[in-house]
Amino acid sequence: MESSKASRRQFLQTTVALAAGAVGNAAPQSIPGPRNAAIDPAREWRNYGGDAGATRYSPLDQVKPSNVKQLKVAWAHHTEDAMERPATTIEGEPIVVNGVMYIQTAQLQARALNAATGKPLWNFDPRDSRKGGRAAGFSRGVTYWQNPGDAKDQRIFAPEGALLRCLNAATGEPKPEFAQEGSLDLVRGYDPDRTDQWVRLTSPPSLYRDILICGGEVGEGQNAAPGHIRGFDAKTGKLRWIFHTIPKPGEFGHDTWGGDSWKTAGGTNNWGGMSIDLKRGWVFASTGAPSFNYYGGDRKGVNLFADCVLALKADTGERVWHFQTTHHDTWDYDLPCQPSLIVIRQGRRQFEAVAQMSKMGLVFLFHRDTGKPVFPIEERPVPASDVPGEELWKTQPFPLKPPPLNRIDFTEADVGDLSPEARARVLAIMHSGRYGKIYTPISMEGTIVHPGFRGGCLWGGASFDPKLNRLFVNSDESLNVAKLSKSAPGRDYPYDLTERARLIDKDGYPAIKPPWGYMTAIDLDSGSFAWRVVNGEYAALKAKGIPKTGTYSTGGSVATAGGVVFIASTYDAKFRAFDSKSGEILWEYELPAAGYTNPCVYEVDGRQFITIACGGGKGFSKPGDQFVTFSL
Amino acid sequence: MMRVRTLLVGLGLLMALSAAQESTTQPIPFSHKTHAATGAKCVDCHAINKPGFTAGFPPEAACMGCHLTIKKDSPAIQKLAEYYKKKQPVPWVVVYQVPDFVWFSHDLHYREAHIQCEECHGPVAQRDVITKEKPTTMNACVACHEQHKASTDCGVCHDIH
Repeated sequence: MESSKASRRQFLQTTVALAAGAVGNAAPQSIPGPRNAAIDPAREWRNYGGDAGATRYSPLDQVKPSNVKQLKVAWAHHTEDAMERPATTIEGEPIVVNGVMYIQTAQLQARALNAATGKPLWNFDPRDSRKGGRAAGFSRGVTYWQNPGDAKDQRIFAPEGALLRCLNAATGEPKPEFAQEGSLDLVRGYDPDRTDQWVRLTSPPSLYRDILICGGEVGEGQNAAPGHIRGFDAKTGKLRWIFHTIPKPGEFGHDTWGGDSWKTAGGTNNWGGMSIDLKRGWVFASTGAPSFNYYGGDRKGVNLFADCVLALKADTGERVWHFQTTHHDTWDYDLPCQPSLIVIRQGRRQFEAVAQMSKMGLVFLFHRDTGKPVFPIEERPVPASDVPGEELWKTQPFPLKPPPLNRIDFTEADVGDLSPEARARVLAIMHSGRYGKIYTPISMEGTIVHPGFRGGCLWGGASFDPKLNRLFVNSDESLNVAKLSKSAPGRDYPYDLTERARLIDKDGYPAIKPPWGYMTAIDLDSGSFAWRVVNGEYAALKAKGIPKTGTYSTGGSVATAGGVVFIASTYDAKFRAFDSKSGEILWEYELPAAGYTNPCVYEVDGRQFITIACGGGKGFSKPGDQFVTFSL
Repeated sequence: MMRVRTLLVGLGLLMALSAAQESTTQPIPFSHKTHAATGAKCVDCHAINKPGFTAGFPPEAACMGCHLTIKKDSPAIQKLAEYYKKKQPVPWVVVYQVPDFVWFSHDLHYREAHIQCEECHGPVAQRDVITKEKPTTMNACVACHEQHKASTDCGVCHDIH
C-alpha cells in the first residue's frame, strides 16, 4: 500500500473513531445500502460483543429472510493447531477492523486475516514462550486499540492465560513499550494481601479511551484469588486503578463479609467480559459467585460484590451503582456474560437500559443511569440450610418480567423419561436428597441443583435488535447433583464438595424432560416472550422419532438489521438463521465442527459477511480448527 | 483448595474410567521387565517433551538400533522390522490416558515436581505385560495432589470459565 494512501486512510479512520466515541453508544440504527466499511465502524465488528455496549447487533441488512437460504461459504480458514488430547476448542469471537479480521486460534495464536478473503496477514505464536505443562486454555477474543495521539500506533491486545499480549495490529510484532516487552503479567502484583494466586484472562479486556479494563478467571475453591477488576494504561501497561470486588476494610460493602472472610474468600470475578457506556464513561461488569462456591458458613453476609451487575467509572474504577442477583451464593450462580447496553422502547418512552442474563435463566433489566429495575424485582423467601454454620440469605431476587428462560423448579414430573434406568436413578437421588425450587440448599445428603452450574444462560449473552425492541437469548436446561462432606482432619476449612456431577443419563442426555435448549425473543415493551423455540437437536433421538429436544448451547447469537438472527452454539454443530420476527428457522448449515462461540457480522466493500469459529472440542465433540465465513 | 471429587461428566463415564487392572493386547509383545533389566530408564524410550501432554512412544528406529542384531529372528522383532521398513508407527495401545478435558503434563509432573513414573503407572519395570494398575480418575489425581500439597483447584487441570 502506498504510504500517502495509508496515511489518508488512517486519518479518516481516526476521525471516524473519535466521532464514534463522541456520540456514545446509543442504539445502533440500520444504515441502508452498502458503504465503504473502512469509514463506518458500525458496519464492521470492532469489539467483543460487536460494539462497546455488547449489543451484538449489526446494522447490515443485505442478508434477509428472503435470501438467507442463498448464503454460501465465502472462505474458510484453517488454524492448523487443533488438538484432540487435551481437546482444544475455540471460544473466540473474531473482530473486524479496517477490513482486517483478528482472531485467536485453537492454541491461542493471534492472527490477522484479510476479512474479505481469509488470507493470512500475520501470525503471532506464543507457544514457544509458554511454560511447559499447561496451555493457556481459551480466550473469547482480542481487543483493538488505536492510539488517538498516533495514527500509526494500532494495537491488538490478546489474552493468553495469565498474560495479556500487546501486538502491533499491522504486523503482529509485540509492542515492547507495553508492560514487559509487550506482555503484561496479570498475576504480578495482583494483591499484596493475597499472594500465590492465579488469575487468567478468558475474555478480552474492554477499552475506554486509553484504559484497558480487565477482569479474569480465578479459582473456585478455598483460598482462590479475589476477582479484582483493574484498569491498565493501554500505552504502557501500568496499573491505573483497581476495584476490589471483595472490598477491603474501609471500602463500601466490606461489612457484607463476616469476620475476616474478606481475607480468605475469593471468586466474585468478572470472567464473561464487560461493556462500556462511552457517553457516560462507565464500564458495566458482571461478577461471579464467591468462593468457596458451595459453602458460605465462613463468609457470612450477602457478600458484595459477588453476582452483581456493577456500574463503575471507567477512568477511575469508582462504583456508581450495583445490583446483586444472588445473595450469599452457594450455587455457583455467576453472572456469566457481558451486560448488554440497550435502548428500550415502552409505549412512547425510550430509555437506556442494561440487560443482564444469568445462569439461573432469570433476565434482569435495569435503567442504566440508576440501576433501578425496569420491571419489578421481588425479594422472595427461600429455604434455610441445615448444614452446620451455613446461614443462607433469607430472600433472593426474582424479576417479575421477563419470565425465566428455563424451568426454575424441578419436580418428579420433570424427571426425564427417555430411559427408565436414568429416570429411576434420578428419582432415587431425589428421594435420598434434596430437590425442588431454585435456591434449594446444597446439602450433605446431596441436592439436585436446577438450574445447573452451566445454566440457564452462559457467556454467549444476548443479542439486541433496536428496531424490533427485542432481546434474543439462547438458554439451556441443565442439572447437577451437589453434595457436601466434612473435610478431612487437619484442613483449615470445614466442608468439601464431594459431588458435583452433571446429572445426565447413560447416553449423556440431561436427566430432565426435554426441551434442553431454547432460543427466545423477549419483547422489551411488554417484558414477555415474543417467541420461543427449541434450539438444536440430536440426530440419534430424531431417528427414534422423538420430538425435537434442543441441546446445550455454548456461545451465543447476533442480531442483524436484515431481520435475521444467527447462532451456532448447539451441540449438533449446526449454524442457524432465525427470523427475528417469528422465530422460524430460515436456514441451517452443518459446520465442520461445532461453533462454540458467537458469530461476527461485518461488511467489506459493500458485501456482508458472517463468520463463525468452529472449534468443537466440548462435550466429547471433535475439535475443529476452522473459521468459516458466509456471504451471499 | 477445592475438593471436587466427581467430575463434570456423567457418573457412568467415571465408573468406566476408574476400572483398574484393564488389560490390553499390544500389536507386538513387549516386556518392560526385560528392557528395564538392561538399565534402560522410562524416559529413554518415552521421551517427555514440552508441553508433555503425552509421554510418547519410541521411534521404531530406536528399537531397531538394538534389534537389528538382537533377537532379529524372533517373529515379534520381524513384525517390528516390517513397521520400520514401511516407515509406519507401531500402533501401540495406550494403557494410561486421562480424559480429553484434562490438561495434564508429563513435563510438569516429572521434571518440575519430580514425580516418579511409578507413582502414576505402577511398577512397570517389573511387568512383562502392562495392565492398568493405577487409576487415572479425578479422585486419584486429587489424592496425589493433596499428598504432595499441590493445588486442587478446578482451574489447575480444567478450563472452567
